[in-house]
Amino acid sequence: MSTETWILIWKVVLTTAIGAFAILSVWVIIFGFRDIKRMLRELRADA
Amino acid sequence: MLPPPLLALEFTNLDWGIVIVYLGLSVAIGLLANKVVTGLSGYLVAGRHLGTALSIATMTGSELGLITVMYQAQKGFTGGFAALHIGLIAGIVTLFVGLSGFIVVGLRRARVMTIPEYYEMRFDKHTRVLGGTLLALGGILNMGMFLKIGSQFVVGVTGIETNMVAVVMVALLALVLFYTVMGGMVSVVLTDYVQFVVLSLGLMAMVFLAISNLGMEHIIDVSRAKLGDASFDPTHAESAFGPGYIAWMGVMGLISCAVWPTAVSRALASRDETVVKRQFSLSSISFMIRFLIPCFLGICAFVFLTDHGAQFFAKGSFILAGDTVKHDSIMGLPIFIQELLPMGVLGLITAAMLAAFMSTHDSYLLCWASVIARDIIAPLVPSQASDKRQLLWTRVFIVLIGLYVLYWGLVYKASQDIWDYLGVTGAVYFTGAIVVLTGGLYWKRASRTGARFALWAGLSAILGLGPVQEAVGLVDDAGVKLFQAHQIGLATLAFAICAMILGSLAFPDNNLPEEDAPKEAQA
Repeated sequence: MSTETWILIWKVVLTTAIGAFAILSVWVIIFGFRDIKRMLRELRADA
Repeated sequence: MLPPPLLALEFTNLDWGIVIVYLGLSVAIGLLANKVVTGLSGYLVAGRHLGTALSIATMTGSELGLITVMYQAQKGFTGGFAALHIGLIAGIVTLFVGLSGFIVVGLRRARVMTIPEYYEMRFDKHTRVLGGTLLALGGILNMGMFLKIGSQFVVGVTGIETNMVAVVMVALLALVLFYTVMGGMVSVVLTDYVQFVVLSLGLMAMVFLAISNLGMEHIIDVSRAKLGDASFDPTHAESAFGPGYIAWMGVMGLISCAVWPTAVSRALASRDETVVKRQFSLSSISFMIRFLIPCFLGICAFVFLTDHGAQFFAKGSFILAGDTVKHDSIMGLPIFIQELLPMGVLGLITAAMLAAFMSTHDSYLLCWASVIARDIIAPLVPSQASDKRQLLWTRVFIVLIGLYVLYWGLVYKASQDIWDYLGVTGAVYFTGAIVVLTGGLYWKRASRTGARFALWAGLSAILGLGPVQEAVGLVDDAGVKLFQAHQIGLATLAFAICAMILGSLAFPDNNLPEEDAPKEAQA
């Protein structure tokens, strides 16, 4: 592959991955907090 | 316009304040976790109460450590854009594991708390003890460099005296030991979540600031001018990588999500098998990002230092313009960050990096200590097998491993890239483990003898360590290594596969004595 093609590949990979991670981060931050509350509640129940 | 002088910015009181608040929060989490954790299951796998989002947060937090940021930045700093292939491969392989459930679903279904525990279920007690011993050996060696690299980052980014590295190492370690001993996996999960929040925001901010300051086209142009086409093509003859290295990254990508105990422990702590598959599929994004962004920031650091007239030497070491001190390539990122980030944001990012540092340490300390307590001591000394004694031994070994890591960080002189060091030391465990797990889960004829042969074969990966190669004469007269780390890693994997197949075919598990027969794992 030519160098120009490699440059295009890395640009697409970086852009796509960072965009996907931004969406994932928002989802994990919101629902992760809910999971923490649930985990602590269940751990207290186990005790 | 001339660029501003390097190291003009200082770590201000505001930055220190943010860092101290974050560290205080970690201590508070340790105390909170200690109140809700009662039994061994709660301490080791958080009572298996992790939901999907929290599983992703904790797995990302644990695997996206400061050491990862530093070594991937080093790869980008020395190898250019071509190093991004490591992240791309890791993402693809993790997605495969998530969609197929390869290894991780089988382990979760077995309801074990550690990987060696599965060895006893499938093979026998001796295989469990051997597997646990090699896992602990490889894992503890693997984390030997974490503390030193983390301290180098703190020194680099805050600008405190270099001779303070040892003091920083002791302080950071003491903090991690405190909250890990107190709250086990619950502490780890909670700190990982906080880290995920801070680090995900921090990484995005750093990428944005780096591109807006340097310009994407400028980054590409400088990389091309300094490193040529090899800066973009990982298969290029002059690239720092090549086909063998890329193949090794495929293996490493698979290992780091499906076999590496700290990642697998999140699968074992998950609520059910559906959560495991969803967790790994979604985590493929963060497994890719944990390599891509630091690698890209390393490239930016290289471009930035080039713009500022730094002189470069072998292996990416450099001297800043107007200075005489020669820095290792690993220092490129912290110096760049210090220059890039404005007041306040610098403190936030440093707190995020410290969070990354601590969450990796806590996971690793807990994981190796629990393996020693549960898979070595408990099977060999039945009087120590109760939950209470295992909990005690886990806490004792968390502290002992911490002290060892401190010692190793002070004495070991790294003679190879950090990523390669991690690959080699990890291979001591994982080359044997992936063969034993795959054989155990998917090949009915896999026998305990084949499993033990494969585990012993994995130990040969230690030949990839620089000092070991010198000791056994695997260097030429000029001191150049005859084999690269990835070549030894691939050879070790092939050796372990052959050992498993030949050992199982030659010594099948027929007519096992009752006391040696595979057992059900403890709940």
